[in-house]
Amino acid sequence: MKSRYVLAVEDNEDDITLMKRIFQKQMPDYTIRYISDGEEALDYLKSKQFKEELPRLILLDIKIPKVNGLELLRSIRKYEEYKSIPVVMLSSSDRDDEIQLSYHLGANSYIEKPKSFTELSKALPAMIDYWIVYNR
Amino acid sequence: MLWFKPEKLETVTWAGNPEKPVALDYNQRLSPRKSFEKWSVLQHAQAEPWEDYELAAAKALKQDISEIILEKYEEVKSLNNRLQIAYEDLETFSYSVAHDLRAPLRGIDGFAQIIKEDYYDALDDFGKSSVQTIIYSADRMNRLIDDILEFSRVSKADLSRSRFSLETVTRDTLKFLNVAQEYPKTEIRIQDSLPEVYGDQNMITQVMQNLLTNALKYSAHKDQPLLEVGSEKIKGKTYFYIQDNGIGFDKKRHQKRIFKLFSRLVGKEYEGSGVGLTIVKRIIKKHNGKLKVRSTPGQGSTFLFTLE
Repeated sequence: MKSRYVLAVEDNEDDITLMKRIFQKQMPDYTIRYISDGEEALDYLKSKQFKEELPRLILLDIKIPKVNGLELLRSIRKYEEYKSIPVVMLSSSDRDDEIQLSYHLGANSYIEKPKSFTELSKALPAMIDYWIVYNR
Repeated sequence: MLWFKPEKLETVTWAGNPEKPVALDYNQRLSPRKSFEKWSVLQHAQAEPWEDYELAAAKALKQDISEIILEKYEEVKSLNNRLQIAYEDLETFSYSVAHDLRAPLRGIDGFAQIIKEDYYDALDDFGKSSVQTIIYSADRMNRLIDDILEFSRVSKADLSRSRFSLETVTRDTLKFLNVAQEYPKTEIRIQDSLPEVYGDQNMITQVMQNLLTNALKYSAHKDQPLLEVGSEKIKGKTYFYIQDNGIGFDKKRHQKRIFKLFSRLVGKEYEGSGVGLTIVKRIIKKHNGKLKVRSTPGQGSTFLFTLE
């Protein structure tokens, strides 16, 4: 059985550790793969590995080095075969223009980075549950 | 620009007053001596004609003054621009600082939670209370950041006015504040048929949220806390008021201070960041409205506002 995984493009190591822990505790049958650099993420999206094993959900931090989250989103949505992967934008800001652009480019959801670990641990599993049900 | 030459006063002398009636003596004969007395008059409102060199000088002076005014105008304009840029920078600065503070804070809180969940038993009592303090402090800082962001958002936002019921806003806000559970002792009176408001509904909701929270918070210790929302006419204008019977304050000494950013009259015993009333004041000012306060220490406070 192929592994179920979530791809997170995120450069804040603390956030990654916290996210990993949330999955470990609350969704143990999911693993989380993360990439902390936009350019690397772009290469990964074009790789054979990615095509053969699509993630169940992609979390994109908007502010990441080199290629930002919105550009990554644009490239993901260019491929027909990736269109069904839910993409959730993560951002530390609640700027209207960023939110609008995210949806315009095909994001399924936009969440302002939660203030606390507790909020994060509620938001992430809920988000994934929702998209799994939605995609069925 | 207008130029005047000084008035030139001149006495003109005629041989006789042309306006004097003909003088007759008693047997109706003309008397030349009386009719032709010397007559003089002071001429007003006359000036020397402009000479060419004077006109040239006036024109040159006018040119110079215009240039100075223009120069000053440019200076003020550029100063204004710089001020505007500095102000916008400050807004952007506070906005992004507040946001950027969130990330490390999430780390502090998150890792403290991990210690609490997984390593709590390994800690002695002091260790346990220290972890609690970290989590509590992170939470307080988060709320402070929320308030700063809110303040900066309110400052930037444009007004979008509509007509709505303040009574509905009040009731919704009280529900949102979970008053029935949080302040079960407090008696709440809302005046029947409150007039409608013409303003930005989101912003006025925020005003009510802040004023109601304060009223509830600062009266909670009373045996019979009372919160009243109503309206009254002052000099022909409708003011809405939020009144409590709480701790109150010395109006003479603190009226200005309570509206200042981060300024508080109370200590840790009352939660808060000192941003709420500053936001209220900003919003009322944006509506070109007026904010008044009445307060007596130990007896309560009343906040009144009217919108233009």
